[in-house]
Formats: sequence, C-alpha cells, structure tokens
Amino acid sequence: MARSTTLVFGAGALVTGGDLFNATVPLGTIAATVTTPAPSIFVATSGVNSRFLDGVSGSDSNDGTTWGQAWLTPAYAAAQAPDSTRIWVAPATYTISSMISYSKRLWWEGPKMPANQIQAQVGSAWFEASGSPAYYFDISSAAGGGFIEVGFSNRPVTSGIVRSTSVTDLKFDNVYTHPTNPVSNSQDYHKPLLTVEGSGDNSRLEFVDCDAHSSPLIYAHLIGVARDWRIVSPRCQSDVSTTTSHIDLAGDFDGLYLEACYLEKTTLPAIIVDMSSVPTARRVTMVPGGFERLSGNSYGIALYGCQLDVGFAGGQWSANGLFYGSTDCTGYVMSPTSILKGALVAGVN
Amino acid sequence: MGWMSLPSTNYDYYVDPVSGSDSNTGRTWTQAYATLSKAASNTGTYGRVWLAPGDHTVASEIAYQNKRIQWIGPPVPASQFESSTGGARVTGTANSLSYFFSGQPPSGSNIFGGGFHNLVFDMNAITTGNQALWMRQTNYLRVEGCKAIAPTGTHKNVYLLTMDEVPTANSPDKSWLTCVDIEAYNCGLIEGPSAAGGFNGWSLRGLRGDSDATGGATMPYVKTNDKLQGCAISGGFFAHTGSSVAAIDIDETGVTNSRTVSIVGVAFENLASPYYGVSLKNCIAFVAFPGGASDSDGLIYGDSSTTGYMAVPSTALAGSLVPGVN
Repeated sequence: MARSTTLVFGAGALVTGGDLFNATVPLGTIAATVTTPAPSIFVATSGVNSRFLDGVSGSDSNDGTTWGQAWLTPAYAAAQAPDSTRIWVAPATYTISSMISYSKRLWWEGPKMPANQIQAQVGSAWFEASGSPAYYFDISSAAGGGFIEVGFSNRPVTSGIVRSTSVTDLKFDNVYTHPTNPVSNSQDYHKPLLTVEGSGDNSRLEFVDCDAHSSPLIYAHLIGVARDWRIVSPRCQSDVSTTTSHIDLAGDFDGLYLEACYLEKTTLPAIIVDMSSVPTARRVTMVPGGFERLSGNSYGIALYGCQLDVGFAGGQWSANGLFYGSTDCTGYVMSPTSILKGALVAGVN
Repeated sequence: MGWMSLPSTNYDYYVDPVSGSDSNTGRTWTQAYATLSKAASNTGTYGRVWLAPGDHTVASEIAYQNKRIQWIGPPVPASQFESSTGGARVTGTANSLSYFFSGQPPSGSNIFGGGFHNLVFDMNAITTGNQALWMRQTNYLRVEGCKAIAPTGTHKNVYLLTMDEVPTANSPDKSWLTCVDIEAYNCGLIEGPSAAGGFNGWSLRGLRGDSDATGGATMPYVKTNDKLQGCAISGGFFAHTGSSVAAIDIDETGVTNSRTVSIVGVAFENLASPYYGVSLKNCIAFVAFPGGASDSDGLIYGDSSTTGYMAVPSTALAGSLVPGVN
C-alpha cells in the first residue's frame, strides 16, 4: 500500500522522519507528489542477522530467512542460525524434547504480546517441554543474546528454563514463566527462569520486566565473576509459599543493581546475595519495591559479605524482618523501623 | 522491544486512518480498517492492533469486555507526538468522550494482559474528570511510550490511565501494572482505584508530568487511594503543580494493613505553595530523591500513620513524621 500525497511548499523543507516515511523535499515553491512506501511498520532490526521461526507454518526444510521460509523448530533454528542473529518467533507453542545447546549470540524475540499475557498462551511464543530436559536452552561462551517477549512452562524441565555459562551481555526482557497453561494450579515447581553458573565471565546481565508464577527467577552460584548486573522490575508470585529464594546469587558480583521488584510468599529470603567468599566485598545497590507474605524465618533480603546500599519500603508477614546482613557486610540500609535483623547495619533505622 | 517483522496471524489487525476502510478485512496493511472501533469489535479474546501513523479519530467510546488487546503505534520519538508527525495520535471531538478505550472483564473475574504502546492521546477530547484509558480489573496491563496531551495554557482534570474496578465484583484486582516512559502534559498521568480492592506489584518507571498552565497542575500526576502491595515508582520528573496538589499522592487512609510504596530517583520543579512533591497517608514507604525547587512546604508529606524512610536534601521535609535522615 503506497501513499501519495500532494505537497505544496513555500520556503523551508519538509523532512518526514522515522522509519515509516522517509522523504526530504528541497526548498522552494514547488508542488510535489511524494510517494511513500507502505507503512511497513515491521522493520527488521538492522545490524544483526534475522531469521524466522514459525511453529505453525514453518518447515525445517526452509532456509529461515523470511517468514515464507521460516523454520519450524527451535532446535533447528539454534543449530542453523549464524552468530549474532535475532530469531523472530511467531505465535505458537514450541515443544522442546531435549535441551538446546549453543555457543553464539542469538536473540529469541516473540510477538508484541507482553510476556505475562502468555498466561493464556494464545497469541504468544510459548515454549513447552516434552520428556524431561534439564533446561530448554543451554548457552555457553557467548557475548550477547537473550530472550524477549517469550514464555516458558517451567513444569516439565528438571532443572530450569535457561542455563547460561560464561555469557556476557545477556538480555531478558518481558519473559514469563508458569507451570501450566492456562493457569490452573497452585503448586510450585522451583525451576529458575535463569540459571547462571561456571567459572568464566558472566557480566552485564540485563533482566527487565520478567515475571514468574510459582517459580524462582534467577539462580546464580558463580565461580567466575559477574559484573554490572541490572535487574529491574522482577516480579514473582506464587499461589503457595515457595521453598526457594526468588533471586539467589552467590559469588563475585561486582556492581549489582536491583530496582522495583515485587516478590512474595517465600520461606527463604526472597533475595539472597552471598559474597562471603569474595576477598573484596562488592557493591550492591538495591531499591526494591516491596515484599509480601514472607513466612517462617525468612527475610526480604539477606546479604553476606557485601558493600551495600539498600533502601526499600518494607512489607508484611515476615516473622524475622525484612533485612538481614551478616557481620562482614558494610554499607547503608534504609528501611522502615523495627524490620531489621542481623548483625550489621551501618545505616540508620 | 521494537517493531517487528511478524507474519499476520489470527491475532493481528491493522488500522490506517488515511487509506484504510472499515469495509476491508483489517488483516493486512492493504486491507486495513479505517477506525479503531472496528478493530476493537472484530478482535477476538486476543489481538494485536497495529496503528498506522496519523490521527485516529474516535467518534464514540471504545469499550471491550474480556479482551486482551495490544494497541501498538509506530515507534517515533516522543517529540514528534505533539504534532503526530510520524506518530499515531488518538483524538476525537473536543470534550465529547468519557474515555478512548475501556477494557472490562466479565463480572467477578479479571483481564490478564493487554496494553498500549507508542500512542499519543489528545486529551482535549476527554470530558473533565475522566481518562483516556479506563481499565477495569485488569492484571498485567502494560503501557509504554505513550503520551497524554491536554490543550496548552490550562491544566485539565483528566488522566492518561485510570486503573479502576467494579466494586461489586468477586475478585477485583488490578495487579502487575507496568508503565514505562509515559508522559502527561497539562493533565494527570495515572489514577489508581478509590474503591475497595487491591493491587500488587506495580512497576512505574520513567514518568513525566508537566504543565504550562498558570497556577500549575490542578490534580496529581500519580494518585492512588487503595491498598497497595508493592508499588515502585522510579525515574520521574514532575513540574508545575498547582496549590494544594501533590505531584504524587498516595492515600491509604482506612486501609487496615497499609502497604508498601517505594519512590526513588524522581525530580520535581516549580511545585506551587503550599504543597508537596510526594504526599503519603497511612503508607509503609521508602522515598529517596535528590530534591526539587520552588516549594515552600517541603517535598514530602507523611501523615501520622505513615511509617518508613524518607530522604531528601535537608530542610525539604515537612509533615508530621518522618523517621528518616536529612
């Protein structure tokens, strides 16, 4: 569909910017007909390769380079896509029977349905497992890649959704997990959305607007280093109290920032950061939003061996309080009065 | 999240106010509808509605029930929104509409999902006291890159988004709202519910509210009046509020167990006297920001039932509480 627009100009220039209408008309009193292309709103991202995955109409006999030539299965796409590729994922349910492992930069991007809309699966890019793979995706030794607007069932997998080993610049944006689809249960399957492990470099994780229902979000017990992690708006809810922490980090996290979370119903601390094994304590900055329904001996946040700068609003239903800091923590904690426990806290409460 | 190249699916509809026609199928750009109402009525439970650049004139309120519709405009720079050049502007006849869009679930349930992306709303079309988006019992709503603009020179008593409910419903809920990079000019930005019910886990990031009206804004940019269970506001700028109007007004008066609210990294300018940048009542709060200007009362007010921690530059605090450090 083309647009034809008759334009009459005096002095000046018309510059219509953006991706949709690109025309610059020179000065002068002119009459011009500018024909712009169809509002091809769907502009493929430049700078990286694009491949296409369609779980309904695709075929692994295709070359994957257009929607008409879309691949059918994630395993084939992961194997065939060149390094530094954005794989556009059409709405469908993708069944994965064995773990998909790769060592390259792949961004899996679903439709513009916020991931949490995947609670009903329809219209979204949703990954299910058949059999019992340990993880859906196992990524190692890459510099980039991630998951955007996709959802996972966390019930069939035995260990977690995505495992990342020595991957830098990993991105999770609007990713959602739930045990079943549609939502119908009240169990907790304790399968982390993201598991980071290994002895290499796991720096610059960006983890934004990811929701988990009845499962942890991030589990990372590192031997290596993880610099500059940014975790924004992680939210985790459960119909029943979970016996895992929603965010469980141990190792050398150098520069950890967490903002605007909402985490509820844990019997362990909702967030644990343990840097007690790190010779030089690292900086942790947290400004969470709040915690709810923490039970038993739990805390909202438990930190060990950190230099910290923590401020949060508090919450309810926590028997112990919302914050615990070990004796080797230093820093500043701001929170409502009477909710602090633990040995430290060089802050004011 | 950018615009993406997806095949047309059973969930996609296209609206082009220039070249579209409601006699078309609406399923491709060449078969685009002309009106948003046609798209709203023809989507099923799920839908992505792609808006072409231009003015999308709404003749009457668009209400839909039990649908999870994503309304998606082109990703143009915000500065282009004001003239709608390159952007998708939703407009109507001046002061004729109670809202542009309203999503509502069946009685006793909730909508899960839906959203508005990269749209500009002409608030001149909305009658005073109402809003562009009236979302009722909606969980997981996402609003990003949207802008509400009321006429210059006067602050209009309307909001970009109202998260509302049906008080008689069995399970009123308005949880998991995400707002990213949204703006209000000469009007309010977000209004929370004022009746019974609850909401969990709101994440509001990158908010901006401003007014060029004499006397400033006549209503808060962000206002809630219900129980909060984890509301985080981060990264905001609010300016030119009117007398006795807080830029952010969280009122939990009457709520048995006051809930948590966290406000960080916001800035204020030209707040009218008397009043505050942030007003909190009966909250558990964590508030920390660098300060602001032109407010004689202080930047935070907390009533006697509010607890928490509040930190701004010294001398900027007022009100009855604040066990913080300054």
